[in-house]
Amino acid sequence: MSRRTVLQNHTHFQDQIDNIIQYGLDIINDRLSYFGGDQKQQQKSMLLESLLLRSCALWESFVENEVVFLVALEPTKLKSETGLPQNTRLNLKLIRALLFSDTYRTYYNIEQSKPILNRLLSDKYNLFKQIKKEQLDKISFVYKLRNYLSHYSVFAKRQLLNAYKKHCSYKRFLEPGMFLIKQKGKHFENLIHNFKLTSLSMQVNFK
Amino acid sequence: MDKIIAEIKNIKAKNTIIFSESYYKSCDNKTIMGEVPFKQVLFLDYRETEAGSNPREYNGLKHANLKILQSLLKDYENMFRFLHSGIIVSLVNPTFTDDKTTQYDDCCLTNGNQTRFIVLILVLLKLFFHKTELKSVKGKDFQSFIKTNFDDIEGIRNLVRFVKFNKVAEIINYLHNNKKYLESFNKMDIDSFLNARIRIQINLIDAILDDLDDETLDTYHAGTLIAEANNDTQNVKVDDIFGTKNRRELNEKIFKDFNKEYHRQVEIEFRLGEVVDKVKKVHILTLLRLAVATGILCKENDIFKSTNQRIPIYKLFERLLKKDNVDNTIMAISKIIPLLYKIRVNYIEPYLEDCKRKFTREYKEKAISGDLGNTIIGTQVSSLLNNDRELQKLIQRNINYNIEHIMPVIVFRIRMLFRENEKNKLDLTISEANRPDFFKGLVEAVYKKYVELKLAGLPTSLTTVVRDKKYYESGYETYIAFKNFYKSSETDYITKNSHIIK
Repeated sequence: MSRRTVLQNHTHFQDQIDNIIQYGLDIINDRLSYFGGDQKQQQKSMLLESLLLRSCALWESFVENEVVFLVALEPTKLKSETGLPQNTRLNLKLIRALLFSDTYRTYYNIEQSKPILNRLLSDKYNLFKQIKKEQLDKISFVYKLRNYLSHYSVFAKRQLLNAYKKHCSYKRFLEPGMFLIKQKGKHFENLIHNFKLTSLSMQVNFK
Repeated sequence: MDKIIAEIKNIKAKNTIIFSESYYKSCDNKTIMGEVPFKQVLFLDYRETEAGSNPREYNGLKHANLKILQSLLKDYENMFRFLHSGIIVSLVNPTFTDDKTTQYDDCCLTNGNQTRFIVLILVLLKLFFHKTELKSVKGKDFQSFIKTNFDDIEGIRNLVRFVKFNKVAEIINYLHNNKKYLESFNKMDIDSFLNARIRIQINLIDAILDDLDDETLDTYHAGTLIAEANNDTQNVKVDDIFGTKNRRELNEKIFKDFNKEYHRQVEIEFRLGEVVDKVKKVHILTLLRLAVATGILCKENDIFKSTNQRIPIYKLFERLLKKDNVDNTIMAISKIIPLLYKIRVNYIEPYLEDCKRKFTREYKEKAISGDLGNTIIGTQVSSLLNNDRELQKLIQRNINYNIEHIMPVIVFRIRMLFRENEKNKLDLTISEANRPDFFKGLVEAVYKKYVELKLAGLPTSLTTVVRDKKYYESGYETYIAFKNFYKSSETDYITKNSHIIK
């Protein structure tokens, strides 16, 4: 297992985020020919919502791989956590199995996952510590949008409205797609780009 | 004096506006009106902010400004606020601590910039002479006073660099030549002057945008729209004189093909602000500049020098219109203008906006990765890594562009690609299908060079740098690569039709 694999994970994720931003901006700036008629805004809005959901999925997959790769660089803590002898030889498949196969587990919410990440990763390779608070706040905002889009529940709607108030001083509720289109896609670009900036912050001292 | 300087700087440092009395706030939270002391408006931003950009710089003691100066000196304490229509400001992300105070993230002084600069110059002079009478002053002494006292806060530093010494000297000279006003100035008490009132209207951009169905407007463009509308009715003398005097000839000769092609679609504005209907409009200067950059009327060096200039462009065309035997040149210019206008609108403007967003993202990434250490913003960037909003603003300020700095270079680059088709219509030797990629590449190359130059630290002012031959070399490799890749041929259309005006 090499540091290169970790960096590749970042590059791959960053490229995918770049593509999503470019696609989203093409949608917002009317550069795609497949919209039309009275439903144009609605169609654009739906696509942007899908791109947001996709970004969240990519983030989750990126974080999942990152945890596996970083543990592989220094698996001592995982071995202690799981009670394995320190001379056990672990490969990526085994690490993945130990981390994820017993129950559904996800680390995308870094704030909440901090304690477990601290228990699994050595200080040297805990790149999640490099993430800035503002970046985590933005990711949390994205997940308010994502949760509302995934459930359309009253609770999720209330959470999202609170997030609109906190982050943008909005007083009224906006459907996520309409919010993402606003101001030439400023919010869309800013929130999705934050995923890439977060990844860059993580790798800044790792190169 | 130090106390006063600290107080006025503190107002800017805190990004606040404190009214003299409780302000009026509209029920829809979109407007605030009231009166503020002069000290509150001294350093309000007016160019390239998230709240918009005011197109007018301070233009010295022209007629209206002279009246403002006289009115201020006559009775700033009582009558001035009733004689002056007040200032207009756009704010982004305002908060209201009480019924007298508002704090904001970004601000754009959209109307009243001339008045503000006059007030600011008077305050600076008063502080400079500090209880002594007004005398002649050397430029370097004044600049050193500014540097010593106003260099530590970025927002103020950025603004006072537009207080040009020649404009300060103009006011000093005027006062020396007018005893009555000189006496008023000498008697003026700085404290009461700073507390004299001016009326203010504030447009709260976020609330305005919040209820707007137009998704394409952001705070910058909404603020700029307001600023431009506020300034459209102002006279810009040199343009108006040229446009009015030559309207018929320009319409019949220079803009003949443009009028044919854009009939009822785009109106040419010969006097700034004259087209008020809801139609697309373009100012004569925008169109004339396009032709100049091809070199059809002047030598290369004069193309460079005329970047973002007005008077030399008007002079060139004034002379051209007076000349005999220049029909071919005029006909060629008439054909060039609509083609280049189309390129500007269809490719350059949208690609520049795309690039601006892309570069903003890229430079933020570089900031996070610690790759901006060698630029002029390196130190500031490292102190802002935990403040995304400020980092974004800092980068955007440095990424911002003036299309009149970039468009001439693009035209200069493609000047050998004009050809007349079978129907005698002017076209490029690059096919329509290849143009998006061609112009995208060219815009990116030229704009990138522009940003790099800015970030490397300019040896002189930006306007001097964009008039340099070296800057005009940007995009050359991209041009050659695309031209060869698309097998586009170069033509002698410009040289064949040129008429160099000396």
